[in-house]
Amino acid sequence: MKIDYLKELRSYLDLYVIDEEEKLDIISDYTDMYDGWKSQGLNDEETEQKLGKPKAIYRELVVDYKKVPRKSSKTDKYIAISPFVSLIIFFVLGFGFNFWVYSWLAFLLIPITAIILEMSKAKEQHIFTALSPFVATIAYFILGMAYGLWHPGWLVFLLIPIVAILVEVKSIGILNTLVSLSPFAAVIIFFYFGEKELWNPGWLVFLIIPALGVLNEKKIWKILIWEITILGGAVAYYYLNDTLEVWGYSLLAFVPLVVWSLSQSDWQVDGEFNIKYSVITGISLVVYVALGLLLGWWGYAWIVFFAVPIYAINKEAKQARVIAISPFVATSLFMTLGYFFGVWEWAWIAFLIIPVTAIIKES
Amino acid sequence: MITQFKKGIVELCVLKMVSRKDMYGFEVIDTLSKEIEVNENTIYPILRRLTKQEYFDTYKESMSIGAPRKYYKITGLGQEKLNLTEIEWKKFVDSVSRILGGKEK
Repeated sequence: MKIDYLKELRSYLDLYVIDEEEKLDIISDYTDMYDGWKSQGLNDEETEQKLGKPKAIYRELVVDYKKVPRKSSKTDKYIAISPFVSLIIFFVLGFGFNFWVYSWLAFLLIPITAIILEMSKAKEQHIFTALSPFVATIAYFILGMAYGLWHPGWLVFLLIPIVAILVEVKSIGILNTLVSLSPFAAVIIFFYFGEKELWNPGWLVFLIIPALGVLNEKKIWKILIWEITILGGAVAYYYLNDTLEVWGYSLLAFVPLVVWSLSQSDWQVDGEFNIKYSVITGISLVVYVALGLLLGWWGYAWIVFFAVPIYAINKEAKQARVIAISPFVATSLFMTLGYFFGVWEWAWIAFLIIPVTAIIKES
Repeated sequence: MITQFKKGIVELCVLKMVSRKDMYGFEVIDTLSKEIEVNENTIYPILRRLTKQEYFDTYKESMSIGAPRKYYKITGLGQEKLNLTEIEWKKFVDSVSRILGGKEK
């Protein structure tokens, strides 16, 4: 879009000491060029390709100008101090209270400080998404170390994609938010039933995903058929499973759903955004279940759900994108080292990736 | 072609084209790009610089559709600059031709 293109270009020009009139002149020139190519029959994408992305061309425009000096160095000071504060807390908890097992968590203060200060400065809405891995990690260790609830304590990591989706409520709407959240609700409920040895028919809970998803359908009568075949199928399956006690045959209850699905292969989902999120969530879920069933990695494979927030950050965040993604890379590395090699007490070092990334990016 | 060298030549071409008739930015690019490989990101900064140096004046002309167009018009100072640059350019080309073609003075 022309407006977005010009806004992005303007944001780059604002990084340099250029007087306002000159900036407006440049923007006006690019408006002319944009209109010029559009009038030659090019679409937005082709026009932007012709002009070059703002990120790629702005250097040519600012060649004679100096960068705007950074106004505040307070942020940098706090980030620089955070490792020392963490170290002090680490030793105080360790030597003072003999909490060595927990005290390394103090080092999480370093990336947390960097994320809060850097992302709040950039007014990134995904600040909560970037912080969620830390909240989840701390909660996970409290549950694990204090209460021995490593399982199902790992479920707190589902908080990360859930937060990423909730941050997007405004842009994707309540219904799409519910659809995107439904797989996580399903996983939690599924494990709850599983703990009670009710894996079957507990898996039926996953049907809430399509049951909510089809509410995007525009025609009411189609929604009704979808809901009848999904929910009716679930009820019939449960009844047959309970009375006949032969689950294989009970699956026949879903034949109407399958037939209807095949006949509706071209049904319209509202919004490209939701389709992409649904696809990513669906693939993550399939990979998670496959790794769980095939390799028994239930307590590790959940990191595949990071694909959802990483996609969200990559698509939505304009600045500090790499910094926002770094917690997920760090958490994945942390979990890999801990889960496969049992070196939890060293694995936290992975979280230092985050401030290092922030520093490199800033430089 | 060396960027700085090309920039100088393009600048001369832009001055010459606008001296013949008032032109708007996209028109300059469109005309010039038929002869020399140039893009918008080269031409617009040149147009802005030449305006800043008072070699060009600008004025807006309203269109039947869309925003008004900014036209560039050469000034007296611009015409002088063009004349001088053209003389320098001819001298330069002659010298290069002599060297390359082995012509005697």
